[in-house]
Amino acid sequence: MMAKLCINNNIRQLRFHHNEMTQQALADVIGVSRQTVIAIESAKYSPSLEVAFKISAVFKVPLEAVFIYEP
Amino acid sequence: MNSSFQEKNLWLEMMATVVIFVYYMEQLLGFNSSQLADSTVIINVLFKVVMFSVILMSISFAILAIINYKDANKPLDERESLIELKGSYYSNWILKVGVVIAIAQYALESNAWAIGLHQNIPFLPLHILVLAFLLSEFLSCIIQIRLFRKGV
Repeated sequence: MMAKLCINNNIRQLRFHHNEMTQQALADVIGVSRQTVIAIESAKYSPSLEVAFKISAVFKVPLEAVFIYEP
Repeated sequence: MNSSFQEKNLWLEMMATVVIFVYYMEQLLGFNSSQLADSTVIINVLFKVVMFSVILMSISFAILAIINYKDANKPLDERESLIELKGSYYSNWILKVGVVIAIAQYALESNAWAIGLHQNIPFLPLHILVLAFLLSEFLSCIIQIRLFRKGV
């Protein structure tokens, strides 16, 4: 099994607090596939800065509120 | 976790590669030594393999696109592009190694440094190239499916 990345995230909680936004809805807004949102949420993939900023813009929170660096 | 269109397509590509490999080997192993040395027979097999692979890939992609019509026209996102890039990196290496082995084999044959091998398997460099291509395709699919599943 591949090791998890050092960058964790709160996307699942943020989705929940935004009218239980679905993974597909988030994926459509930020322009990636639902599988990519699943991979980001489960810390199996670190998104590009562009996608990271798009996610934070969707939830209207700063980037640090979405992604947490855990070395 | 559901499979994406890209991942399903890779599974189909991998299965098609295996079918083409089996077909190619079946054809070659069914020939006697005089047929193996006949260039028209070998070219005919190669032509059939190419046509067979194009038809197989087209039909499988069309079926997949009909089932997943929503995702079929979507461009690759950044994660899928990265996975494709990593898969092609390794498959390119396998193909390069295959080409080098085929050239080395041809050089050995033409300089009569490998006399026995040439008599046993005519057009060996050609077969090495075809097998290297099929192996590189197969491994590319395996690597990409693994990256889709385990993370990139």
